[in-house]
Amino acid sequence: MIWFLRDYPLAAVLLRAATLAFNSLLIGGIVFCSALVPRSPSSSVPIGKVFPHALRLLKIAAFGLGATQILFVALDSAMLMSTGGLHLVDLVTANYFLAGVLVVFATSTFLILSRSCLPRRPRWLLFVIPLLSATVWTSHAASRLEDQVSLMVLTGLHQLAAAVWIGGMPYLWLLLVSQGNFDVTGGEAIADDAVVQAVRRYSTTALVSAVVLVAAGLTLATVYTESWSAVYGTAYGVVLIAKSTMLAGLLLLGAGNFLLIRKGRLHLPPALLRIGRFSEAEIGIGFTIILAAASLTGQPPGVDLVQNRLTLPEITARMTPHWPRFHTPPVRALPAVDPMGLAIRQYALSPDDARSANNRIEQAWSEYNHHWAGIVVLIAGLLAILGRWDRASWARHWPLAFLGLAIFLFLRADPEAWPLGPRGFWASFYNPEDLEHRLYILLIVSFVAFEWSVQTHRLQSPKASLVFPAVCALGGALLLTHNHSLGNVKEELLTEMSHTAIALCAVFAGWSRWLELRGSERGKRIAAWIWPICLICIGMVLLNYRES
Amino acid sequence: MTHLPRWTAPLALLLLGGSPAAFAHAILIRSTPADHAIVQSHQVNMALEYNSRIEATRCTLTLTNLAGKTFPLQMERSAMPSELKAVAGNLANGNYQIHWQVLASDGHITRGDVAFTVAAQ
Repeated sequence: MIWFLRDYPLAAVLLRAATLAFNSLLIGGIVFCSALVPRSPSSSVPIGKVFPHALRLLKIAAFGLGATQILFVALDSAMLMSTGGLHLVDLVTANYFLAGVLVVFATSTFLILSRSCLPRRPRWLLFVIPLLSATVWTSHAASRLEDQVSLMVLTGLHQLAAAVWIGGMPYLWLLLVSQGNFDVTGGEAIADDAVVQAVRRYSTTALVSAVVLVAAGLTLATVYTESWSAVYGTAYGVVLIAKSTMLAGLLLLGAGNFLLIRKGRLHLPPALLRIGRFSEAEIGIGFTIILAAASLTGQPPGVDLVQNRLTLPEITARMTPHWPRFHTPPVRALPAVDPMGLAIRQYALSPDDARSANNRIEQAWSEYNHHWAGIVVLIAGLLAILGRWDRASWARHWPLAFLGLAIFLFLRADPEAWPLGPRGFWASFYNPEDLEHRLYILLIVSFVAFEWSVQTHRLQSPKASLVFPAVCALGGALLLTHNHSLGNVKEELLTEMSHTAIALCAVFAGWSRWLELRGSERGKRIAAWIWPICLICIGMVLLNYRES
Repeated sequence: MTHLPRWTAPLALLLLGGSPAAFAHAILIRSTPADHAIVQSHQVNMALEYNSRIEATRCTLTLTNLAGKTFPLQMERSAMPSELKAVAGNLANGNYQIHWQVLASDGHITRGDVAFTVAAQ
């Protein structure tokens, strides 16, 4: 039970994130295939070729959405039955249960129907209605006491626009990068008219969607925050800022792609391929925004959090640069460690009290760890820039700096375990938290191995070079997705601000490195500067990290 | 166990880790009795108001006394879609804790406590 109570919030947020992502992918795919791609399969070989892939993606989205809804309904029901003494029959008419059933019914029907025919006709758009209704019915808007209907309409528009724009991108990408999208006429590769038409239609639809998304989003944000103090002073506001920052980045990329499509020579396949590769970063950042949106749905709107808001002087005081802490308290000064069972029980019964156990010695220990981690990341970023000059080719070994971080983590992440603490090396593997840290170390080491081999040309595989950006972007997305401070405790929120800044930098670092590897020549040159600067920013944030 | 959750979180998550999540949605905005209030009656009328619509029939209220004994509270109908109401009678003097769990209309579950003391003449 205690494990269940402790892990329920995390599971709920992750399921919500998966639900929003699959929902967008499914709705975006349905709109793209049935409304944007010209209905002339017999005359267009490339579209005929790409459709099986698009259909597979649609089926994955439908299956994933159905499965996550079943898990979400099961999780909520199990929680209410085990802690609230309710029976299943009491829950079947609850909003979340009905919404879940609606989605499962819609996705099952979609999967059955799409076995016999391709979703190429406008009537498939009918599936959007139940899918969108279910997510709106389980959004903030549905539970508001005032303006419920108008907020639900705005939420519906916001989610539909996000799904059409961001959810449709992977299908556009499939179309663009498909190898068979040109015929050879007189020695010059010519893209299929239907493909060009689909790209242009998507471009126009995406532009309209972006306008609707921003307009509805701004209105909702205004209602849910009402004042600037709720924007910068609450956990909801912090995630909102992160989401808006990424949206600004996405709009920038989208504008670039829009211009490429409008001005580009779309009849030439290389131009389409260039747009396709460019859109990979758009897809990544777009879905990260959707994951951050899942984090928002788990937060009470900022307008409702009237107590314990952070003030600007408090934020300024914390963010003002201080000299890093390079002396650590001795490990014997750390407070005695609670047995695992007791720690979890305390967390489950009173999470805030359990967290406040982080006393001054522990804070000093933690700040010291952050600051050294900051040094490592800062050095890595600086070396990554330096390594661009041939005379400083030695600096291309920058990934090895992270090896130092792995050793540091190994030594100090679990001071109660070997080599610093009384718990033996092997015994620590029985402790879930220690085991988790050991896995992180393993991940760091493998990431170092890949990126170092790529930077020093020991590994030539294009796929291997994508490991670093993928891990970086995914890690940043996960850091944004996790839910933030419960009850908006000020200290927790100040910590989360640092973590959110790190997550944003990680997302932009990952996708700019991706663009450097996959983008066009001009894009490569710009992107090549962004990710090392992001690494430097992460290092600076870590160096200035404080807990009081 | 509590030494490093903060500093490991960003780095660990940046490397595909899990995440320490808190979860909050329907939040208690006011209650009767207020948290840590002293009630001068053996009968306590309870009203808990939240920031959002809740599914009252799927919410629970329990009362724990100083001895740690817990018993469920029978809820009353409220005219407000965001309020839980209950009455507890014959309470002996001492400290009590209301433990609430609510299901918001959007499917989020939250819980919390309200402590009060009965000090009747």
